[in-house]
Amino acid sequence: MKRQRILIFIISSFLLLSVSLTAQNETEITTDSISTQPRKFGIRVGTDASKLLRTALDDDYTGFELIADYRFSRKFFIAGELGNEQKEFVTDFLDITTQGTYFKVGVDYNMHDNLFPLDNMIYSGFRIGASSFNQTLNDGTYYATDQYWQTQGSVAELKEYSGLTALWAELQMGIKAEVLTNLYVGFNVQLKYLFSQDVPENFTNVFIPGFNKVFEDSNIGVGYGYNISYRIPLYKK
Amino acid sequence: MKKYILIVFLIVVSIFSCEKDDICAATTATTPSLLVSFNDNVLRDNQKNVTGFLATGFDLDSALEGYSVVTTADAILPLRTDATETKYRLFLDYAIDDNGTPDDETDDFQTGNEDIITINYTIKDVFVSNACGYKVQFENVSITIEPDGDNWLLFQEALNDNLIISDETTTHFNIYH
Repeated sequence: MKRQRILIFIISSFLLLSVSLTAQNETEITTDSISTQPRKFGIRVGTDASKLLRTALDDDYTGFELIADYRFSRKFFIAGELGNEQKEFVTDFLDITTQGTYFKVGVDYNMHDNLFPLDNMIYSGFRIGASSFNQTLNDGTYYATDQYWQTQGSVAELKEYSGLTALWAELQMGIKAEVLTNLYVGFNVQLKYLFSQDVPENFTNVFIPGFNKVFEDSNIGVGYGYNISYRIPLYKK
Repeated sequence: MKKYILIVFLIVVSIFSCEKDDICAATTATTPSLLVSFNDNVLRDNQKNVTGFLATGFDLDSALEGYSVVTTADAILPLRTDATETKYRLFLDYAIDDNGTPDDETDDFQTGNEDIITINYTIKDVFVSNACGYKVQFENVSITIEPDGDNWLLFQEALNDNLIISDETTTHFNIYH
C-alpha cells in the first residue's frame, strides 16, 4: 500500500514536470508576440481563507496562514506560506491536541498563457515545508476487545510532547484569478511527501501543522487552500 | 491538456483524503487477556480438564462468556484495566440445586466448589495506533488463591519469571488441581 502511494506520488510528479516542459515549449514559439506586452511585477500577499473559515466552523481547529509570492520572471514566482495551526484529534479512545507553526518556500510556475491585459494563473508549484510543533495527550482510554469488565481505565500520566519537527516536500496545483485590479482569488490542492518527522516514543504524530493529517504507515499527505491575495505592484516590464 | 492534469491531480488528492484509518481493525493486537492452563497436580506437564467450570468476575452477576458450566482445560480471563487487581470466582462442578421445587427459583442454591483468585499486576501503557489508541501491557503479574479450607485449585505458577502479559500467543499461568 505504501509502495503504491509512493508510486502514485512519483507518477504525478512526472506528470507535473511534463506539463511544465510542454508548456515551456509552447511559449517559446509564441514568445515574440507576448513578451512585448508589459507585465506587472510585484509582491503578492494574502491569506488562506479556508483556514479562517474552518477556524470559525470547526471547534477542533484553529489556523491562520499568510501567503506571499514574488514574480521574478514572466512565468516563475518565488512563493511561500507561513502559518500556525492547532488541531484537536478526538476519538472514543484518544484526545490529542497538536499545535505549532510552519513555513513553506518554493516556486510557482504559471502554465497559463494570458491574453493581454489579463494576468491570471493556472499554476503548478513545488514547496519544501518545515514545521515545529508539540502534541498534548489530553486523554487516552485503553482499547480492549473484551468488554466483560465494562469500564476501561485510561492513561494515568498525560504528557506533552514538545519540540517536535517535520520536513516535507509538496506539489501544488491551482489557479489564481484577478477579480479586481491586483486582487486575486484562487484555490489549490496539495500533495505532500513527508521526509522526516520526530515521532515521540510510544506515541504518534496524528497531525502536523502545514502538513495536515498524518496517515498511518504512509508518508503521503494532502491539503487544499482557498487564497485571497493582493498584489503590491512594484514595476512593469 | 492542462485541465486534464488538474483533474487527475484533484482525483489523486481526493482519494488520499478519503482514506479511512479511523477504525481499529479486529486483527490488531490490543489489550491482552490472561491465558490460564489447568494442569494435573501430580503429572504437572499434563493438562487436566475442569468439569462444570464456571468463571465469574468477583463483583459481577453474569458469568464470563464461554465459561458458564463447561468442561475445559484452559481459560482466557480478561483483566481489569481500571484497577491493578482482578478477582474471579472459579467453580468446579457448578450446578444449581432447585431444592426439590423446580418451579420456585427463590430457594435455589448453587453447588460446587468455589475458589476465589486474585490477580495482581501493574499497568503499562503501550501506544498501538491512531485508531486503537493505547493498549495495556500487564507487568509483575501474580496470582493468589484465597485459602478457604476446601480449595480445588492447589497451586499456581507463572510460566516465566517477571511475567509480562503483552499478547495472547502463549499461556501465561499454570494452575494445578
